Amino acid sequence: MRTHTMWATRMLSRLLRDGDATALLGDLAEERVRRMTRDSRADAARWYQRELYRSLAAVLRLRTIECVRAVPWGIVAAAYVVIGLYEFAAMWLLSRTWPEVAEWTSALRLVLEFPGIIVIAYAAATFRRSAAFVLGALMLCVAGLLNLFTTEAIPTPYIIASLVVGPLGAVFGGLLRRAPIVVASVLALFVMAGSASAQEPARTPQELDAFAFLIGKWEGTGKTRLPDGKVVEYPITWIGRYILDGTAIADDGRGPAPDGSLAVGITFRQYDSTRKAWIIEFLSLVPTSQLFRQVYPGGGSVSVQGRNVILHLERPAGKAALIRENYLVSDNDNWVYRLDESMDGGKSWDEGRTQITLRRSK
Amino acid sequence: MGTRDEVLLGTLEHIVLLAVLRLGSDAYGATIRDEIARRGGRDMSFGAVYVTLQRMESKGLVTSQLGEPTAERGGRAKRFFQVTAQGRQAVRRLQDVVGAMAKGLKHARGTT
Repeated sequence: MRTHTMWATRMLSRLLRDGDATALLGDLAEERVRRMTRDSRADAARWYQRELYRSLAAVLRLRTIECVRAVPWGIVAAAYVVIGLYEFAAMWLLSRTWPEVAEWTSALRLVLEFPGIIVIAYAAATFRRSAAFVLGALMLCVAGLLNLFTTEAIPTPYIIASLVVGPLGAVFGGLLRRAPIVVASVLALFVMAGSASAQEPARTPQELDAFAFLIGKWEGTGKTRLPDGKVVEYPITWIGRYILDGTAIADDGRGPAPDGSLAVGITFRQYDSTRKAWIIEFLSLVPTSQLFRQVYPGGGSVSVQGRNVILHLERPAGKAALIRENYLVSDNDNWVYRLDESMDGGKSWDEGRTQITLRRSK
Repeated sequence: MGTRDEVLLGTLEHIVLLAVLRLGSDAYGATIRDEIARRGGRDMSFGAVYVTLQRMESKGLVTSQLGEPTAERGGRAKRFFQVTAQGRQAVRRLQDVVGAMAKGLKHARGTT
């Protein structure tokens, strides 16, 4: 017998109850013998093969219809709505307790929501066990479609987590009713592994943690001492986020410049693990577009002192002053940016030429 | 007026049940399929016949038993089916409903 015919036979045996598959194959064999005497051996073999696949298709179709009719769609729909509400509640809670994770595209957020999804699926399974499994399939389909058709750039860890966490949580919820201890053990392993692998940024060099305090939205007041000694104050907004799959940080600030015009700029911070060097570049967009290479393997430096970070910037071409940036972090919700300037090659410093006090925006 | 416990027959079930009734003690997959093809002009696959019979058996409309294995069937046994009293009642009830609904309809068969 050909391999694919054997495969179809096995499928039929699985889909039909004990004895029915044997009887069906016996009926096919009986008819084949009849056709061999009436037509030819080759015609009979062709008929047998065609009829075998027709039978398999019919059984598959009818079994699928039976399964779909047996699905408790009301329970599945209710559980899906509850999961949606739960996600909103989790986002709200995280935005107040762990803002870095409170992003829709955060893989870690999904992992943290995993236990809740299991509980909801478990509750659905108490009404009908199949509801949890259908819920899992539905979540997988929705996540797959959303990832496929979204126009936004989504981090790979999030795509993987969205395809795994929800569907697996629903399946575990269903299985929890049958083998609680086994499932609980697997769950514990999954959560531990998931938390470890979904840490954001996923492939972040540890050194980049020095700038992790920048992540989030910050509001504050800046003070700049002008060359004539006059001090100007202005409001400023600073937003930091991970980019490039979590391997870099981009933080941008905006606010009125001392002369009253709008100043907007963005800084890209990355640690090159291979060369063991920092790359920090500042792109000023308004009033003029300029890119400043502040720290790179050949110039500038970064030193970390506790939670504080000090940057010695590469001296821009044609400029006499040396610039030192101090990021003074007092706690998770407050930090100060202080810019010092030296006109004598770093022997003495004019501290606080610009100072910005920032507080986490709620 | 029908009761809630009444089994409602689908089209496939109705056709297969009638074939089993006609064949009597010789009703098994191949003969049922042939009977439907010969009288009904409908070329059902063996798979569809067996799934339908299995469903009807779970509803109590038919019963089945395995026969002796034969050489021409590759040593496989036949599964013979019989209509139960509940199955006969379901057929009768459906015929009554169809008859009552069609009664007096001049164009029921699509003729003008």
